[in-house]
Amino acid sequence: MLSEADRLNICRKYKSTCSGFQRTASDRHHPLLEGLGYAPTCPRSNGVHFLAGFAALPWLHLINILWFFNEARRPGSNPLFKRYLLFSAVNIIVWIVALAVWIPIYQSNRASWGSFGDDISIVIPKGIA
Amino acid sequence: MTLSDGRRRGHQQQQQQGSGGALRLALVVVAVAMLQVQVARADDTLNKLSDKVYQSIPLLDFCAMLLDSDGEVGCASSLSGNVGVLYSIQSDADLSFFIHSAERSPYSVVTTPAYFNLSIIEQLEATGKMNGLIILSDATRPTQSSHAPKCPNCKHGLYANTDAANYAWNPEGSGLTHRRFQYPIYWLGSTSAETIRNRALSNAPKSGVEPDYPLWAVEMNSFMYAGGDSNICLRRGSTWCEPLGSQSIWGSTRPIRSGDTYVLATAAIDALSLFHKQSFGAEADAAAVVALLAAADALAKEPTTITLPHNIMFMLLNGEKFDYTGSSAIANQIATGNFPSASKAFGFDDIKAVLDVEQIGLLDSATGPIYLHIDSNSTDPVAVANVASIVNAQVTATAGFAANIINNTATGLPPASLQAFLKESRGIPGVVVTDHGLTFNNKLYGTPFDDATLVNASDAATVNNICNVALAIANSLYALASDNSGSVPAMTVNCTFVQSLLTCLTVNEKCALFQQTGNNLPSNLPSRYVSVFRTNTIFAFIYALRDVLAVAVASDSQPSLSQKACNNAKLTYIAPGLCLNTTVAFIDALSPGFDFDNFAIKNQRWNLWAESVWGSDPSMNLFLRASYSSEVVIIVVGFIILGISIAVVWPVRQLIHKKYE
Repeated sequence: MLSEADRLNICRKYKSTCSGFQRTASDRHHPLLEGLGYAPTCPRSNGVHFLAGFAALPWLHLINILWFFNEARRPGSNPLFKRYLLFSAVNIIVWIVALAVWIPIYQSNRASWGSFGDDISIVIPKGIA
Repeated sequence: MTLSDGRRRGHQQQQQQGSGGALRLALVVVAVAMLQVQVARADDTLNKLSDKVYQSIPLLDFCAMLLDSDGEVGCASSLSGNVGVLYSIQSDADLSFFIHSAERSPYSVVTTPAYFNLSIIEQLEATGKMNGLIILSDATRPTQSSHAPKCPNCKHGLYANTDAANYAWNPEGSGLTHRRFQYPIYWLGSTSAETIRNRALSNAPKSGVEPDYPLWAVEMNSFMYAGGDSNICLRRGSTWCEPLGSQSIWGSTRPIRSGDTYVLATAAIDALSLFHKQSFGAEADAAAVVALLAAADALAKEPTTITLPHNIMFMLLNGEKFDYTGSSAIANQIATGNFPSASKAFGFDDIKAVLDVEQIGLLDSATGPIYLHIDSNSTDPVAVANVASIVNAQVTATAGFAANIINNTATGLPPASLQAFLKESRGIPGVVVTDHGLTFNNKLYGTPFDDATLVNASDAATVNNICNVALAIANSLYALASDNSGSVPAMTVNCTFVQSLLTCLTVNEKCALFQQTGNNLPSNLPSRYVSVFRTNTIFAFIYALRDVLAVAVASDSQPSLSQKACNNAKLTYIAPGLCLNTTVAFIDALSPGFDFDNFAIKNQRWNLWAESVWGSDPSMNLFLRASYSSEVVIIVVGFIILGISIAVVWPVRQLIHKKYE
């Protein structure tokens, strides 16, 4: 039988080759898995919705980059790391541009937008129009 | 070094520091115990530090923010309050010094009502140094200074967008009541005024130089939630602003019948002032209300009144000072066939005459003259002229009065509730009765000084004049209601009633007249600002007026009936011993521009006056303000202390760690 450490390693390697759709029972005969004794499953997606979930959290993307930057730079790291970090970097730039455009427009024009301006606001400042 | 090694090391450290920990704990316990003893020994009442720094000064009144369809009116402070060094302006020299040499900006200017006028306000605002204004109400009262606009209610009145809308009926007017101030304005009573006056004088410049810091300053907090105009703040809901409104009262000499025709007699019952709790309006309308009710009383006592061709209906209209709220509400109801009720409504064609009693308390002399204003652009000038001549004849036949009919195209009617009725139907034959010709006799219109000193209920001549005016009104109404056929019977006005009611309305609401009708109001100088509309609350003085009107127009009374028996007999029960056959009712004085149920804006054609909501009651805190340089020094020293403490503690901490390793 394989040792615990070896089983862990095989699992990790197997999961890192998942790409998009769920593996089925027939993959139990995958050469990587001989001797493992069971069929590890792929994550339900490879993180597409995982990423989508993070799409609206720009600060999280910044943390992602800062935290994993050194890891991603090392030659032996998971190639997915680099992909995630690139996506994060793009995401942050998009968000910065979008907010830098929207916030000044909103702050200057909310009062002149009438009831539409009130409808899109959660907190309306008191004491002014 | 692996993770497990570090854990083992920490464990050792904890064991060795066991004895040190116990010592530390003992020290903490002793320190806390000492602190408790300190607190227990403090026996002065001001335990909080903030109480030792700030002294809260109570206000008598403040300027609030109102909004209409054009924008904001009134005052508001910033969210955290407006801070200013006190500066007293009691003379022109003080004013001049402030404008040219005062350097301790920002200021809270302390002044007297005599200096509270538009030109001085504009000069003070132009300096940019004023952050708040405090008015000491115990100073000498001015003799002529109106805070109302020069042409009150003209912007949206009958003559809007014509030249007559600019005519200065109130030449003393400075328009302060309809002006937007960017800072708070407070009105102080005598005790607070004393404190503030003394503090402000200690800040006063001596030989052309202001004293050094620290100086006495105040923080004035009257933040208002609403902004923009009433459309904007009302669409955000009632937690931002609320529409102005109240109740009007009507009563008629005989019950309402379908197909009946009417002669209306109206007077306004609300008053205007920049400071809402100082809305006394003695000349502005208390005198008119008294005259109208006394006339109603005299007419009802005359038995033939109820047999006349036309029913006489008295209206006490509320909210008139804000673009004719009450009268426009009733005019709208008449136009839509709902007044006084949907089943027994009457239309404008059924109104044969309107007698609108405006300011009548300051006659030029015992013989008047009394002025009768008519609309020059009526669609039925013949009817108007007819009504005017009937009233003219009756007035001149009463108490030796002289009368003048004023039919002036350039000026139009004076500000009067009749304007709101004429806006709906320009052919209504109406006359506005006043003591003034083309400019107000009231030089204090719309100020806290239009009060019992101006129209003095203890002055026999004043009371006598109002009594005679009431008789002239009663005679005119009789003649109008009889279509001027036949002579008017001799009627008497109860002059004691006139004096009592005038006292109730201008001196103290706790009065015998109100108490007789079961209205036991607390002792209070009555202020009659219309305030915000409430469906479930009616101000006590409005109830009292309704009861007085009910008694005045009653045609019959059954004093022996109990409340239950009285209601069973379909009569009106006012108080024990007052079961009356009378026709009187409340009607909401709310602008037709608002949807009644949820105050959404329904129609821009009507006024949209609303009052801003505010959070906590406006307050004023007095404190000693230090100079800016001392504030800078304090913060720099603070940072230095921080730096020193870090520089001392860090190496000691390193030393201790090394020692225990």
